[in-house]
Formats: sequence, C-alpha cells, structure tokens
Amino acid sequence: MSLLRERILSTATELFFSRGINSTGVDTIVAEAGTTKMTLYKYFHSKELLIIEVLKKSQHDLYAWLELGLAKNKKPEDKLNNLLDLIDDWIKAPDFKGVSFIKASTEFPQESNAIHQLSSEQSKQFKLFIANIANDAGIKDAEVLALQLALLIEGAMQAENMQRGSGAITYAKIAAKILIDNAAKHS
Amino acid sequence: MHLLETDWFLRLVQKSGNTPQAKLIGMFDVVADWLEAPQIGNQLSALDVYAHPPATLLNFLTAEAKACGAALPEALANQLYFMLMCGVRDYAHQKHSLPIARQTAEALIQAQSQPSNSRQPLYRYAIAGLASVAVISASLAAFLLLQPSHNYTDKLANLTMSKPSQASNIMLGSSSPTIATVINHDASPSQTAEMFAKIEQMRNGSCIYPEVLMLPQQQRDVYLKSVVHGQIPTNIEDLLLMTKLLEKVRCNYTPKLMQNSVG
Repeated sequence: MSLLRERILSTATELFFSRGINSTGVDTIVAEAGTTKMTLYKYFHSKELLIIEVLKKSQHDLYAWLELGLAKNKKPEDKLNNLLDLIDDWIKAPDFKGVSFIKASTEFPQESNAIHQLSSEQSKQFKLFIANIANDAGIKDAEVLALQLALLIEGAMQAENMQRGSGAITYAKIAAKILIDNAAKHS
Repeated sequence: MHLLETDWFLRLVQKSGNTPQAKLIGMFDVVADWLEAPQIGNQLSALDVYAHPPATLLNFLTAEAKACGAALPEALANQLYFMLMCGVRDYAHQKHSLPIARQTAEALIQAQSQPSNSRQPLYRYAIAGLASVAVISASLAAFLLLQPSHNYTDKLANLTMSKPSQASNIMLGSSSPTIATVINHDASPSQTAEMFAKIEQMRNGSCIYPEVLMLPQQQRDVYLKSVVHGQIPTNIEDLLLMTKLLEKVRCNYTPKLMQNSVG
C-alpha cells in the first residue's frame, strides 16, 4: 500500500471516530493528511469508498488484535471468557472511540445505503467470530450464545458511546459469564 | 411520537410484572406481542437500533433499574433498550431473536443486581421487620375480634409447618376469601425474624448464589426480591419458597471470623 494512501486512510479513521463520519468533510481530511483532494480521489474515488475502506481496515485490525490476544489461551473454553476481558481492556483504553460498524450504522441508518449494508455485514461477521470460538469450546448452541454475547458486547459499547466510563462492560462481563456457564452446562 | 414512549406501552410494561425485574423483562414480552400485529410490527421494525432511547422510556427503565438495585441504572436502561431494539430488528428473519435478547437481558439484570452491588443499610431491614410485625399483629387482632370461636393459633402453626405446595393448596382450597384466608397468607413474626437473621448472617459471609436462569420461571421473582435483595416476604407461601431457595446459597463464613479474631 502506498504511504500516502495509508496516511489518508489513518487520518480519515481518526477524524471519523473523533468528529463523526458525516460531519468530517473531504477538505478536513486532506488538510489534516497534508495532501490534496485530487490525491484522495485518485486512491478512493469518492468519500463513500473512503468510508468503506476505513470500515474494512478497522474490522481487519480488530480481528488481528483479538486473534493475537486469544492465541494465548491453550484451552478453547478459556477463549470465550478471555474474549470479554479483551473487549473490556479495549473499551477502557483511553483512546477507545467506539466500534466502526456501530458508528457507521448509527450515521447511515438507511438499509439501502452501501455503508449501512457493510456495517450490518460486519456485525454478522462479529457474531460468527464468537460462534466459532463457542463451537470450538464445545458449546452445543454456539450460535445462540454468540448472539447473546454479541448483544452484551455491542450493548456495553453503545452505553460507553453515550457515556464515557459508564462501566457497563464490567457488568456485561458478569452477565456473559452467567450465560457461558449456563450454555456449557447444557452442552 | 416514538411508539415505545406512549402511555399505552408504558402502562402495559407497568402491568407486566409485580417487581422491577419482572417489569424490565416484561417489556420484551409486550414488544413480542406487538410484533405479531402487522401494523405495529412494521412501525417497530422501522425504528433505528442505534438511536438514543426516547427520554420517557429511558427515565422509566432507569427508575425500574434503580428499584431493582442495579449498580449502574442508566447504563442498564440503555443496554436493555439496545437489546430490545436488536431483537426487534432481527425478528423479521430470526423469530428467536427477541427471546434471545430477553434471556440476555435477564442475565444482565442479574449481573447488575448482585447483592455485592446493592448492600442495603441495616436500618432498612429493621424498619421492614417492624412493619411486618405490626401488620401481622394488627391482622391477628382483627381476626380474633371478629372470629373468637376459631382456634387460629393452631391453624397458623399447622400452616407454617407445611411445605410450599401444601400451603398453596390450603389457600387455594378455601371456598371464599374470608379474613382467615387473608391472615393465612401472612408469615408469623418469629419466621420473619428468623429470616432476617439468616439474611444478616449471609451479609457477613462470602456466598455463592445460584444463577437465576437455572431456577424455574415462577421462582425467579421471589429469589431476586428476597434472597438476592434481602426483602423478606410477609406472604407465607413466598417465605417458604425463600427458605427453600436459601438452601441453594452456599456461604463460607470462615475468613470473616478469622478477621474478627485478629482484629
């Protein structure tokens, strides 16, 4: 990837998360990245495509980070509990600004919108990611547990978006433990 | 106006349960019923999942969350609303989305209202205890004045020794709701005091509570209200159920005793 393209992408990511996607104009992005509109459009063609690239990269980075953290667990069942610990660390980090697919869904609620469709797809992938971990851990209803954990995680993130330092993730973790233990008992 | 902040919706949720927990969960049942009605269902499905909850509903949910002893009432209210809306969004292609959201909400309510999150001051137990004793004494006096020929003491003693199922049979078996049947619902002062003592003892120990999801639906309200929050029921049936549920709580008092002996 070109260094300039990478710089535009990281600047846009930072601005979308801190100022909002709709309220960040292309002018601001090029000014912050120290480039021109022509260069931005050369790499991304439109603001919509830039947003889509930001979403894809954010999702890629999230999974890379989660996979790295989860790889430390030898037992598959430990991964499930550790997943919530990792999310907890992430939410409590000073630079946490939200999850890209939740943010994009919030700003683009129309179902016909390409950005909304991608963020919905990413939300489904996140559930699938959890379902795979649950499946490896021998959970019989892995899909159900994945939906429950995703609801807890996304709900805690949503609460955190509304009020920074809400502490919602702490109780989401306790609830997740209850649900994981319950699912394990019935497996 | 947002469909979920209408008086109609809030009234239905209010009626859906007798306890704050039951009302918070009841919200999911009310919406599940509404989704079956095509016109309302379409309106609900069109709502934005990620939008802020309507203020009236958020205030209502926060108040109920506070009443059930949630550690973070507003965060819980926001999360419950989000879960509800996710359940609604996915309902069109996944009929089990709302029951899953409901189960998750139950676990979250349980997590937020663990006893360690809401330690209630001792004076509340004392006031509640005195109030129960006063109510029971007044009822007893009224009964004795109105029905002097009945041997109430024996009847009450038999009832308090009976098992929950027997107690409910006795109560359901009465042909008409007389003063006697009303009194028979109440626990004796000594039983109430004994239960207060048990709960107080548990506060001094390290206790492992059974998961509410593992209990039958009909026992959950009593469990959360009495065993978890320490509100002693004055109703004999609930008190007997509470005794049964308390047996499932495992407590260890050793560390506290050791601390006391060192101090």
